[in-house]
Amino acid sequence: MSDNTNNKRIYTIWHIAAYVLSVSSVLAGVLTSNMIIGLIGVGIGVVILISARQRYRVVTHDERTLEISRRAASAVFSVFVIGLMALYMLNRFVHPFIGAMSGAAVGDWLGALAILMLYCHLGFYAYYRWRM
Amino acid sequence: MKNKLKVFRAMHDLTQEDLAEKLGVTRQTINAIEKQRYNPSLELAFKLADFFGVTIEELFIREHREDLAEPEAVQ
Repeated sequence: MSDNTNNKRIYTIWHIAAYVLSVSSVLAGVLTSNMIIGLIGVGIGVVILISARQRYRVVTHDERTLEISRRAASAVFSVFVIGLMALYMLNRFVHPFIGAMSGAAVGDWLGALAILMLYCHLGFYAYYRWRM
Repeated sequence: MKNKLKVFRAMHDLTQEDLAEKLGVTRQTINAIEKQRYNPSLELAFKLADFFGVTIEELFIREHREDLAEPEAVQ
């Protein structure tokens, strides 16, 4: 097995470890209502990812991944612009639901929309990576 | 766009992983170019051609040239 393949394998292990640590610390933070636990876990995860990439010198991004990312971002933008315009029309001409919501509810929806946007990007990224 | 990347890679006895490492791209990119699912940038195309010591035209083949309009003759 070449050094590069070996490096990639070790990097992947660190990569997965960083994600597992970050996600579980965020979950622990949510369950214990302690934001610090989540922040520390995510911080350690980021440090692990950066140091692993520097140590093993693995190419994870190149022009093709940039192109995939660009297409995914463009698709997400289109979906959200059309979706938000549809919501606006619905609210303005059919049923005014935004005015009836409390400030906290609007905040919750905005937070959920941001997360949905990230998942939408992940989905499109996976699709274009499969296509390209 | 068709290409002879797989042929040249085989002639140099390289794996996709080896070639990707030498050119600083991912193995998936080399695979996508070979399978004609991705057309590389001009920069990467030149890098590939330089690496194998051939011209871009020897490595990449355009399939449809009829879409190119003939330049008009200057009077």
